[in-house]
Amino acid sequence: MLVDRKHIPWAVGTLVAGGAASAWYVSDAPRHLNGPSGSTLVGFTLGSVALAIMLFCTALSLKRKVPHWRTGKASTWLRGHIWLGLLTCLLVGLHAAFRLGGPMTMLLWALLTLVTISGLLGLLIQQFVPRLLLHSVPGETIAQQLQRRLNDLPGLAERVVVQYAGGLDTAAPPWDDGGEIPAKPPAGGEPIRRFYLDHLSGHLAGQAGGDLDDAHRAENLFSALHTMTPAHAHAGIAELSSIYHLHRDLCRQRRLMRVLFAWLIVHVPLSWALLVLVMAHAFTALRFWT
Amino acid sequence: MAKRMLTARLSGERSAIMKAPDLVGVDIFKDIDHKVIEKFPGTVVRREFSAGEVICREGEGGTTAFYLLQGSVKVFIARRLGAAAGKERQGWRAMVGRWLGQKRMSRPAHSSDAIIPIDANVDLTYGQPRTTLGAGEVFGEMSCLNLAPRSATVVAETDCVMLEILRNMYEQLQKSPTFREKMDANYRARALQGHLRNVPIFRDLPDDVLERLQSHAQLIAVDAGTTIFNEGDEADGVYVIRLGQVRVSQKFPGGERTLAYLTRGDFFGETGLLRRAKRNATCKAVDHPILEGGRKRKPARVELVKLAAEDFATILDEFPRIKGRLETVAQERIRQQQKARVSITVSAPSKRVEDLGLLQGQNLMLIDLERCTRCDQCVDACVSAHEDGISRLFRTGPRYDKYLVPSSCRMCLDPVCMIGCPVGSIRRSEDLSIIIEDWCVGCGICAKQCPYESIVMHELEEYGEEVSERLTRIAETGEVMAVTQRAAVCDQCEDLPTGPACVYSCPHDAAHRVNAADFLSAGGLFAGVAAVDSSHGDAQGEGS
Repeated sequence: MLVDRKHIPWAVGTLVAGGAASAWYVSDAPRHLNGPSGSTLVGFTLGSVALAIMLFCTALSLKRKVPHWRTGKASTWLRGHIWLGLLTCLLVGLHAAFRLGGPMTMLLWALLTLVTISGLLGLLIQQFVPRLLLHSVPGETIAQQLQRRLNDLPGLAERVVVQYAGGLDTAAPPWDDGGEIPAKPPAGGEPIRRFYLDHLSGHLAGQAGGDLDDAHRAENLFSALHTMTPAHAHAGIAELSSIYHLHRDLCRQRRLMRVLFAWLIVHVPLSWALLVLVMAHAFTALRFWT
Repeated sequence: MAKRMLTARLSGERSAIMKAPDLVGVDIFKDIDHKVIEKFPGTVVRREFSAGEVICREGEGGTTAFYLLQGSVKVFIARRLGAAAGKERQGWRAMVGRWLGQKRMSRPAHSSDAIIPIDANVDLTYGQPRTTLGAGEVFGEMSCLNLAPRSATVVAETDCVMLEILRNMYEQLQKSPTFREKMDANYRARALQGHLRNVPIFRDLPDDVLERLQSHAQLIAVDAGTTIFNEGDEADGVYVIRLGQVRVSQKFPGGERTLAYLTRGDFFGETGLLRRAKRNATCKAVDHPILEGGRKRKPARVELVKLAAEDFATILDEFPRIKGRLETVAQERIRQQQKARVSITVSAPSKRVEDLGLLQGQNLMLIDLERCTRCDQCVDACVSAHEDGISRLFRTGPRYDKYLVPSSCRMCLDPVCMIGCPVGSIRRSEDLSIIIEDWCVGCGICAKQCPYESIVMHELEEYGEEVSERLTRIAETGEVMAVTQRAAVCDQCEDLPTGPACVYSCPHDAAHRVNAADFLSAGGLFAGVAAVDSSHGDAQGEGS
């Protein structure tokens, strides 16, 4: 989610709420001989509010299951998720009087830290990666079709090579869709065939370390190929070049999509783990509260 | 080609090509010269069907009309019967679900007596989508004349004999006074009253008044392409469509907008009956889309029922008690029409805008790619919001500036998808969105017509187990082979309190529905987006 002007009320609200909670904590702290803790009225209240916010934040996953239900706009939920989630860190700190406590509360602290950091990382990623996708991947496709389109590219390239160079070294053509194969290919297509076998086929198959991995080197290779072939084959080179660029685009998209969603691998399961442990913590604390 | 197909179906002794002497005893050929029949050999075939045999299936292509000589046939829309199998949920869960916008629990949008037009001299109704035709009746006229797909499934109820007729012979029949009289009489007897009842100002009229109206109704025909009346003309009466299609359009500053493509059973010009006001729209007879690669054909005929204002005034003088009530209905209709008028003001659109057809969009879906995280929540919401579980939104399409224009209905100024539906199941709602009713027979014409690939044809099997089971059962009884697909289009989630689910459920404020004219006019891109979104926010009372 882009952080824009619509976040200002939420940011202000979070600051005010955080300030009020801190003021209450500071004013209440001197009253307790052993110092503030989660079992004081202030600590308990702030802890309860933090738990409520955690429940709300986790409920975002459930809302996604019924996206069109009239439970509020998803963007409003997400802003609440971000800002109230940040507020939770402060509230939990006040609730625990900024002490690590025993093993259980230490684990809770660790999870909260990881969840918060991964969430902030996700927010940061969402500020840049969608723009990168927009500007650097003009041939973007929907994620579900990405691999399929990548798989189609070698076949397309081979068909171009067959058309302009007469065939590959392999005994049988890899395609079998009834496409027409010219009986006698135009002369002068050998450089195209060599280029395909030496460079492009490996690149399209995903082999790293080839000359085409580098964009500048690739441009040079295509230019050289252009000068080596007769004019009638230039259209074929243009087609191979566009296939190469589309492959680059799709690979870039795949990388960026991984970046875009990788943080969720940490954020979501740890959030659920945090919620479960927090509930256990709350249950235990209430059960043995004296 | 149609003739080849017709004769290719001849098999055994149950079918035979009819020659001039064979047709001597057939009443509808009485006026037709033998030389004319001999001029078109092989265009009339006599066919025999056993009880239970399927004669044609809804949604299939067809090029012939059938004239029933003996026996009777059942005519029905299996798709509608299948859809009707869905159970409506009751109780507190249904109530909560409805409040939360859970579409699966929504109630049917039609009254049971709503008309489903079919290609015969009778109509089906929403509640009872089946009827019977007997000897002397014709079906398949629109398929024969306009290559329209079959609008219903026809199954022999008893052993029956019929003539299957190709277009060139059917056109000769249309010139025959005997045939015309017979068809007109059938129409007046079986469909006209239903069509008149479809006109809001006639809906609640007593039967005696309606009978008088029927007797005054004139049956007229015009060629496709003919303007029936122009915007600004003096109103002279109401028209009901008996056969064919009519385009209704209005001029606006900067363009013309198609309000609707009307089909059999629809009406237009009704306010002109009570008030000699000027026409507020242009109505033109249109042809069906040509399905076979732009083959040149003679323009199709559009048949209309006209009720002249003078005749209506005479009837009102006889029944003064209903005059005041009709005046109120007419006023309401005029108010609704005025409400629907919005201005279209776009100055000098760029070539890119024209190429993408953005100006067609009265409610264009746009995805801001700087905000979109490709999470597909919009698509999931679309699937979730529709009871058939089919997405009307595909996050693929051309880009314009930082926006993606995905495949989703644009509510075009000229919704050409509406041309040619054989059962009138595609229509425009009052808020201009395109609706495909559940009696769609899956012929796919609308999907072929849509220039932006916004109409999805989907397999019926995906429609849910309950419906599939019902259709299978229907198929097993021998009544019908199940229709395998139906069309779906973005309906702007018109019956959801939240507005379009895709926009509502986008967590990143990236999905927008905009009026293309506002979007592209002065004020810039973002102004257009903000204008539409704020209106949704106000409606829901949810600021963000």
